[in-house]
Amino acid sequence: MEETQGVILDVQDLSKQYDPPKGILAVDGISFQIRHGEIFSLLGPNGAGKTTTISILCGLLQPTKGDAWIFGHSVRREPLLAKEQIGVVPQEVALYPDLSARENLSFWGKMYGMRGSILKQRVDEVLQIVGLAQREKGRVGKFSGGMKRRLNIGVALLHKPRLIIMDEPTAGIDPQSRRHILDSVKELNREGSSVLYTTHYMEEAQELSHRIAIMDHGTIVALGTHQELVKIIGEQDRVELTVSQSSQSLWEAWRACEGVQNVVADGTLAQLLVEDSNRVLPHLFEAAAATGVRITSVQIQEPNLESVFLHLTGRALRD
Amino acid sequence: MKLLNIALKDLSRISRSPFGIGMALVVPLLITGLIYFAFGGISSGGGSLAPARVVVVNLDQPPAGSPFAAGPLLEQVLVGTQMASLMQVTTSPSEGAARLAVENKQADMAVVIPANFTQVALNGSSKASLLVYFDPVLQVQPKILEAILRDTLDGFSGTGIAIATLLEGWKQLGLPDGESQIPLVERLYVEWIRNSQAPEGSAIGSAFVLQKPAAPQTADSNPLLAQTMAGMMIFFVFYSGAVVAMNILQEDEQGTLARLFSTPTAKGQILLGKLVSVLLVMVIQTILLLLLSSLFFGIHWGSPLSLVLADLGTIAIAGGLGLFLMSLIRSSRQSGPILGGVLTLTAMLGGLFTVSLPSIPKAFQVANLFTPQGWALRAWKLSLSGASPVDLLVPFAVMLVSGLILFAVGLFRFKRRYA
Repeated sequence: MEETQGVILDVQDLSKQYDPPKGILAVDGISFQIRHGEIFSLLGPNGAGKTTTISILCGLLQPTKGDAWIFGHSVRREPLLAKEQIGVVPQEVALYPDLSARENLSFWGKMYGMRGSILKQRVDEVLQIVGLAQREKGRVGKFSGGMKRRLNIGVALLHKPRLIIMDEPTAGIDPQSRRHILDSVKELNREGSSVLYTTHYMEEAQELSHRIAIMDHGTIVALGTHQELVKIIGEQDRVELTVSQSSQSLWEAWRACEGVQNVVADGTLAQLLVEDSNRVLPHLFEAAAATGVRITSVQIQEPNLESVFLHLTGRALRD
Repeated sequence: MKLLNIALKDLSRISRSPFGIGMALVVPLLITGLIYFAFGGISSGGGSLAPARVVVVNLDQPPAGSPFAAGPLLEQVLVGTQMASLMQVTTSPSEGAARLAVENKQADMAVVIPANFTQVALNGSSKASLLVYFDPVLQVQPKILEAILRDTLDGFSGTGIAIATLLEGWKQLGLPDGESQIPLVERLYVEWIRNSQAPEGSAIGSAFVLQKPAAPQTADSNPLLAQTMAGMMIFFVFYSGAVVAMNILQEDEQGTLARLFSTPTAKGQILLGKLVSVLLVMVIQTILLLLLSSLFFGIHWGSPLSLVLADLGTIAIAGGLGLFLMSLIRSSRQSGPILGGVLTLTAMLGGLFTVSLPSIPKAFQVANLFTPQGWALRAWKLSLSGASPVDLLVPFAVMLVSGLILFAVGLFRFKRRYA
């Protein structure tokens, strides 16, 4: 398939089943496109199929069905050409701890076919970009978690790829490093790179993305800009209530209340999608009193991606 | 080119691991050195056995007027300069004092020559027993002393027989007064004995020659020390092969292997790069071990071509086995039984730890041939003995073919795993 109308990644009916025919269907016939200059996020809880999708695009897994074209190169038939076009930031830090930052970058640059003065110059540039020029000779094993993450991203930038694929690059890191990474993604995008970003953090997808695909159980349940996705749930509010004790009868009572669309409970925390929070809230308090449970806190939130996911799947995004 | 980059990167990482360097180079040399020193070079065959302290008590009373005195002659044999490297001989006037010296560890052995020793030596009419009293801890030295005494006594007996035969012949020829010639014969015999104890070129001294194997390569090296070193080198080369092959699993667990696969590099090229690193590590390891063991222990490893054949064969089969074994397990955490169990067991069956034992049961020798290490040891022993490259062709071929088969199976399994 040729690169047309600015489409740099074209995923068509992509499926992956592990150990067929009875194994888990991790990705189930998904299709989407990424256009030039776009930050596109795959948002979904753990096990939604995001990493499997990324692994297929990076050539680590063979799809069971369907195909994907990166700048017109099929990941099935032309995997090496497809891989030349992308820079991959894996979920876990994938660096050699006993080599220095510079040695790591030099090695990975060679793996992308870079040599000599061009490689050296690019390594210098990337060390500046990730803010590790002063620590270029330090062994990566002795770096802090945030420094490793930055270098992990730097490796993916070495050959100036036109599409950068980032698989949950902020998972399990401190807020400061996360902020640095998010800013880096925006900066890369401003410089012309397109980004495919996976996350289970709704806020990240909301902040970074031009378009978002919400994934669940291997399928894309919704796809669009943030505004488009929020419109799906109309005027619904998301109400978060903390109660004094978990009570199945209370959850059932709330589900029966008029105007309540959805109830997801986790311990003493319950998330509800309601049509008009001002009208519904008194009924919720009445039901709680009737079951002998005390409401200890109430939070009413504007519609967001969390609400969309709750609306579409009946589950909270962090389940 | 990428293949080499991967191999050199692995090599660079391994060279920064003190543990890896220690296991690859220091430990084999250290163990060989310890074995050498622990056994005091006893297996060297180089005469480094400590001389035994011998006390001689000569109670012999030769017949009056006889020029032949067996006791003093025997004492002379023991004190003789030829024995100095084996025994430090002193004399004592009494048997009791000599026994006490042995019991108090002031001497290792006591030889008591009885009073009728000459009488018996001349005519054999009665029995006389030499008494050797020795420290029971000693194993080798009493045997040596016994052999020396037996040789000398055989000489005395031969003299008695010669005199008797001479007199008989004298009588048959009708020569008069044969008995009167006995002192002359005895004197001649005593002179012969004395001459025979001379340090240079005497009759007895030239009767036999102590000779080492003629192979020039081992002329000034210690063969069993060299074989022990060969055993250690083979064991740790096989260990290195498995450990470096395990690097594939470790990279898989660290996520760097997946990242390598996401680069525009063919999977086969990546895996081959890892294999090249296994081979490079073993080549460097063996070259350094050969050089260092020559330097520290004076080992001569054989002719260059024989050495190359033994080395290449060992590397082929060790690398192949390492890759194959690692392809059987799923994670580096499972490598303990492979490294500690399989490699040690096959090394034992291959004879690597019993290389310095003089006699090995036949069944064990046969079992050697069913282990990769056994074939490697065979090749190195041949090289050490100065065998020609042609003699090494069979073990080399066995190791090369086995190594290639194991390589192919291991590579196939890894490729299938990461397909």
